[in-house]
Amino acid sequence: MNDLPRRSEAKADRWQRVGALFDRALAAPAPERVAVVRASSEPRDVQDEVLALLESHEDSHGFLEPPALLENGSEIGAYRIERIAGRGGMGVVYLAHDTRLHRAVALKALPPHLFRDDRMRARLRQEARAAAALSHPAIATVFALEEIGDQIFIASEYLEGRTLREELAVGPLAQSRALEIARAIAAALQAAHDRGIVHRDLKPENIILTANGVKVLDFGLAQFDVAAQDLASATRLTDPGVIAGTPPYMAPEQLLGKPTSAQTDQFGFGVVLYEMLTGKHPFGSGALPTTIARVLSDDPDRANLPDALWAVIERTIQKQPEDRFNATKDLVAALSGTLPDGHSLPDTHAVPDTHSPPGKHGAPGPLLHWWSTHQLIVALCYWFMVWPAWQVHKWTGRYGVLTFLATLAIVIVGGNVRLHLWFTARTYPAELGPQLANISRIVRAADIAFSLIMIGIGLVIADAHTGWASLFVSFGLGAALAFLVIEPTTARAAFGAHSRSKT
Amino acid sequence: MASPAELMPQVYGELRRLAANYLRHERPGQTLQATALVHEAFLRLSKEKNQPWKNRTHFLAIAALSMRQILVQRARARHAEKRGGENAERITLDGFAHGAAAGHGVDGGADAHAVDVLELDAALEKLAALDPQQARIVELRYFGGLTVEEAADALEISPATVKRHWTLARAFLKKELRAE
Repeated sequence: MNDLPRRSEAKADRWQRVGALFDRALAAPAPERVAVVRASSEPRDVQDEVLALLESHEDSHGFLEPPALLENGSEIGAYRIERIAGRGGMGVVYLAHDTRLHRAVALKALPPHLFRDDRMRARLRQEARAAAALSHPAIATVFALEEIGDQIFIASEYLEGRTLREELAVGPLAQSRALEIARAIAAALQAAHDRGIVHRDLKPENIILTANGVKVLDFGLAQFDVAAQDLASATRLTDPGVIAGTPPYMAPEQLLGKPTSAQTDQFGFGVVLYEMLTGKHPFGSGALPTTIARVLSDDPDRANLPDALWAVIERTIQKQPEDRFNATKDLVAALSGTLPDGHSLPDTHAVPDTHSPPGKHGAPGPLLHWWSTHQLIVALCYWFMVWPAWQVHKWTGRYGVLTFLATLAIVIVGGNVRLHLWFTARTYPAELGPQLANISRIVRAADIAFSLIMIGIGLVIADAHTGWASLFVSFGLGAALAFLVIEPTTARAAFGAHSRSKT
Repeated sequence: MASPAELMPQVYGELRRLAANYLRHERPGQTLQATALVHEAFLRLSKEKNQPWKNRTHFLAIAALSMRQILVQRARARHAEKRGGENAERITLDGFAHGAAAGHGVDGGADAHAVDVLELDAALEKLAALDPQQARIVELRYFGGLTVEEAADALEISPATVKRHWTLARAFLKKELRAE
């Protein structure tokens, strides 16, 4: 009855001896291990098992393995490791001492398996050279790419400070502070983009707030993060030591594996700016797949952001890269147009819109133009129907005059409001936002009433006056089509994905 | 401090929810990344008041246990689903291994070490019969993403002991998985 526990005890005991001999063998240099095992006093079967384990040990390098770390105080090349400064998706960062130049450096150990082939190594060298050539107060200086044995390190300026992530953990930043940081980041991006270097992984973890100002880390490195190239890796977390859980700062094109560009960094920038101002990620705090889905298809909530700032953010987080700022300098210019207290300089909506709609209706000029034209056309259609409505009022029975008066009222309200919007869009585009917020409900109600009453009149007189009836029904359907389909489209063209006319 | 197993239900619930959420959106080529999930769960739960764990390491130790269960259940369900099918596909949770690899810069190609989670689970059971602590170390490191130092901290033993156990456990598991 007690056989079973006794047997497992015996097994555990035997395993202990296997383990002890295994350890002893491993302590010996590799060529002598077999001899060590065979020379032991253990029974043959234990010896055999240890030899088998030693063999699979040879083969298990990296198996089930989280990171291999360098010990504190160990030396690698000319660097002495002081301590681990952080762990990230692209490897481990050590604080190290450069024994040649006697300075502190951040030594980033890159995952060697990503750079096994020569082509990747060559690209990395090239990228490191380019990054080392970047000299900007808001970019962490890269000193060297070090290839020591199997390992690859990037040595860069060691920065004493807090990451923006840590700063955000406390809550949103004051607007003036957020803008100061945003301008520094934008300037860093512009400097890099001018040299053709795209960051691709802009996020609060890569932005360090030091006593000497804002510093952006790791330009150009993200492209080597093979895992980051696919959607799955958006769920990979960056720095478990500090605050893990990087919600995606990737632009839709990155998530979809399409080519990246300077516009890709604008997206990350917009997300970071939004987060600094509101304390929230614009695409939500749900599970990462949800957030990813939102990045791909949803428009964030405007929160209480002032017009000028919202205009910049909205532009940078457009789904299509070509809808973002044409060049990073335009982003920098747009940011300098936002005063620290959040009031805008006039006309921030018309931020240097050099790219305009390529091929869209083939017309140059701001996209707002299409939206305002829509307003004008609808207003004219409204007024145009007044005369036919008067013509048919005698055929619509007892309520003919009432129907006409109702039509007239809707036309006056809807038509005038539209004309007002058209005028505002043409003359004071900056005021359009608040105006729209107030009256978009009225516009929507007038549209619905107008299309219903037109269709109603048409149906009532259909038998006796088919010609007139078809005019009314067509206008009714036309109006419905305009507010259901055309207006959202033109509104999106004018204001970006976030259509302000939605109620 | 309560043992990880006692505290597990709370963490397990959250991890399961997260995992289910991921898997619902799963598509070909997209994979579950256990360590990422564990850290995300930590992020979420650490915001709550009255946390039962004392620190991050403690949490990760609990989560490692939960993650193992979730992955094994999922792999079983998948196996059951595919059983009998001619193309009965083996669940090498490659993405899982790959996720851990890419996320931590492992020296060793992810592909060379793709792990079938059910085989690993069975081998871990065998190991646990020989030495429960060694099995637990593998669980902490592989399913929880803990470093040697963190695992040592969680188990309240020395890092040198963890390292020794880890080396032996890994050789054992590699041998077991190859044998199958």
